[in-house]
Amino acid sequence: MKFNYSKENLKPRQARLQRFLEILPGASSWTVLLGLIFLSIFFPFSAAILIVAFYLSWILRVLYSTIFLVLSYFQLNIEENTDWMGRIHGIDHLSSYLKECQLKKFGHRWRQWASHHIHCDQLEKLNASKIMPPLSKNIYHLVIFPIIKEGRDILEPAIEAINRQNFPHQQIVIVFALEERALPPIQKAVQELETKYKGIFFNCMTVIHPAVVPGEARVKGANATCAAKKAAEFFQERSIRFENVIISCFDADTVVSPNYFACLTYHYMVCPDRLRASFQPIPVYHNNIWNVPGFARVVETGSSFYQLIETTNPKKLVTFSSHSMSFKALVDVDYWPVDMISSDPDVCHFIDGCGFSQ
Amino acid sequence: MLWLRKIVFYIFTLIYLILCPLIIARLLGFVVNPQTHQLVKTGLVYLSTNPPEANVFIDGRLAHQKTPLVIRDLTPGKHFIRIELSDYFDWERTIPIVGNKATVLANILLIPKQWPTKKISSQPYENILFINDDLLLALNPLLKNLDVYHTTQGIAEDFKEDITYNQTSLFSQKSIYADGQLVQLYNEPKSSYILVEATLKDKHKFLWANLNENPPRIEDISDLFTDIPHRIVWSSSNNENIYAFYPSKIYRINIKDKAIYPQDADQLPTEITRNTLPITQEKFLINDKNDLLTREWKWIRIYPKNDFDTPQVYDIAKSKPKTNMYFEERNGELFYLDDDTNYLSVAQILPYHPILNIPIPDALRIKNSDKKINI
Repeated sequence: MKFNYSKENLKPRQARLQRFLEILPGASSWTVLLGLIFLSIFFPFSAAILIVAFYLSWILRVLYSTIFLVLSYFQLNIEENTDWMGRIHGIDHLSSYLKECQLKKFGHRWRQWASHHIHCDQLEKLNASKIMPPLSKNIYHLVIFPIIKEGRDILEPAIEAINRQNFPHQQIVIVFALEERALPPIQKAVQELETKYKGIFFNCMTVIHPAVVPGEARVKGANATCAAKKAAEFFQERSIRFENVIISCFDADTVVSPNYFACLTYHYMVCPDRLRASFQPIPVYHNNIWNVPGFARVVETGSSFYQLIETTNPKKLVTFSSHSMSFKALVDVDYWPVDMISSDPDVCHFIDGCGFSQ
Repeated sequence: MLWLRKIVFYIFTLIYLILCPLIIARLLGFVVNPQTHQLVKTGLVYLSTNPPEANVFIDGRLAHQKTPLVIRDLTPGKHFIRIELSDYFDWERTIPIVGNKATVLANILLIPKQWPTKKISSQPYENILFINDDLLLALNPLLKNLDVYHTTQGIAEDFKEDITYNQTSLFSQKSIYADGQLVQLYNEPKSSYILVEATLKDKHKFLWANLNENPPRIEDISDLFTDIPHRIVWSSSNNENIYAFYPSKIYRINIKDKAIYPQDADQLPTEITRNTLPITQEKFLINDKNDLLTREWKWIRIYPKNDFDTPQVYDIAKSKPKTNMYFEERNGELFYLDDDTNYLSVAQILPYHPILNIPIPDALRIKNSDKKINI
């Protein structure tokens, strides 16, 4: 498959249509904002009615969002103490584990009961699908960090967070996707990190993305694609099936919780359509929340809320930031687009039935 | 979760589709008339009373605010309004409300159960005369009994407060003119000077007095009159020259120079050609020109403005017939001579308070033609 993402290769008419569609959302927003000022001056009565109608819709929208924010938080909360590794090992022996789970009782511990209820439901669906996952010991995680100007102070906490994972480190491969045009101090820091963590994980390697490649734009997707291709060679050399590899393309400052890869592995395993699904964690922006200005805190808290709300609507969800998927699916869609900035959602568009999990 | 999202979404959409038109209709003044079950456009009523802070009942229900107030969202039709204030008679009317219009009942005069009146002089008088600004001259035949009062001395929130009205004798008991008999008094409405024509020991005297000074400064200008004129006038802007009219001639008398000059009739200042003799005023439009204060024979009466009902009349006090009375707008007090005692008395007609602006544009007010709408 060959996809064009930028309008350079489009016919003039198609390019104009694309430009019009690009303008449309912004123009609509400005029309509403300026239109209200215009109406307020020349047709205040109409403006008043419109504003009342808008306020009411806004109030209802806030109430609607709040309902799902609470539900989403509830979902997050009930899985706080879940033993994901225990569940992963259980799935390796699905038939007996399912029976064991169905007999388990939790009394009045409603959080555990709800979590277990969801767990049993997922196991039953997996069992019914007859599409068994690979054994947990055969599942590998490929983590790509695209880097251009992120220093050691940003990268090291992210790697340390992976080092704290309770998932076996020998099933994790870390790739630093380093841009050739990155400054020498950055390149040096990456080399130091590679040396430090090489023996800790299954592999830790650096892939240098050339500064100029014909047909590519200077975007993150091109860098990540270059690294993913190198990783594909790595797995092929070791006869590791791509179906058994879960790729996560992290931002350099992504700090994951200790259960992250165990949780991701679990959801990968229980998803029958795992090769055509994308796995989106819920990003919450609180890592350095007290080190940023007040306004940024408000914005980031709002973004965290928005992400929580949107998790309840996976059918409309586009992948965002540090999402994961089967490496086979990524190879099948020819990796990330190399000529556009926001590459994650576009990969998702080529994967049917995007699932959601964390 | 998806199905839950869908259900909640459809519920909220339904709520919006129902609520939005209802809220907008409500804001546009539409309500469902409980009697006819029809959607009708509401009107409002603005009520302000004199005195303010009165309780308002509309159709038997107490309004949340006291006067002045605006009662909104009234269904079109007739509504019964009762206004209550302690020590005042209830004010009751059935008023029409018209959709998208404001019924304005501004400065409703509440009638006290007992009109507050008090005597402010210690002797009887024959008449009173308003001079200028707040100067009131109480008249008697003997010059020593002519007294000056200030009408604005009684400005106070509470009429019952014991406020003394300072009295100044125009001629002191020791004055050489004290025993003179008053013949006639000349005044100019905007001037603080008066000219007293009197007889003293069979001699005719003309005494020029400035009431703004305390005690009033008296100047005998009798020598400047060759005979008794039938008319004397002066200009309020020029207190040095007075004009004496005789049957065939006019003299200009310069008081400062003590000089007399012949004056051509066609060269007289325009403002002195009118009649300046004291006129008894019997009617006053009070309370922002809403109500009529008048005297019928000896009864001082008030006719409150009434747009929506038959006119009513209230008696305030009895005054000496054919004497002057004066309404002081600044403190809402009426000065008159009491009919029984001839003492100078004062009645508080309007409580002292500033008139409030009506917060409703003229375009929304019910006009006279609107009142005839059949409801």
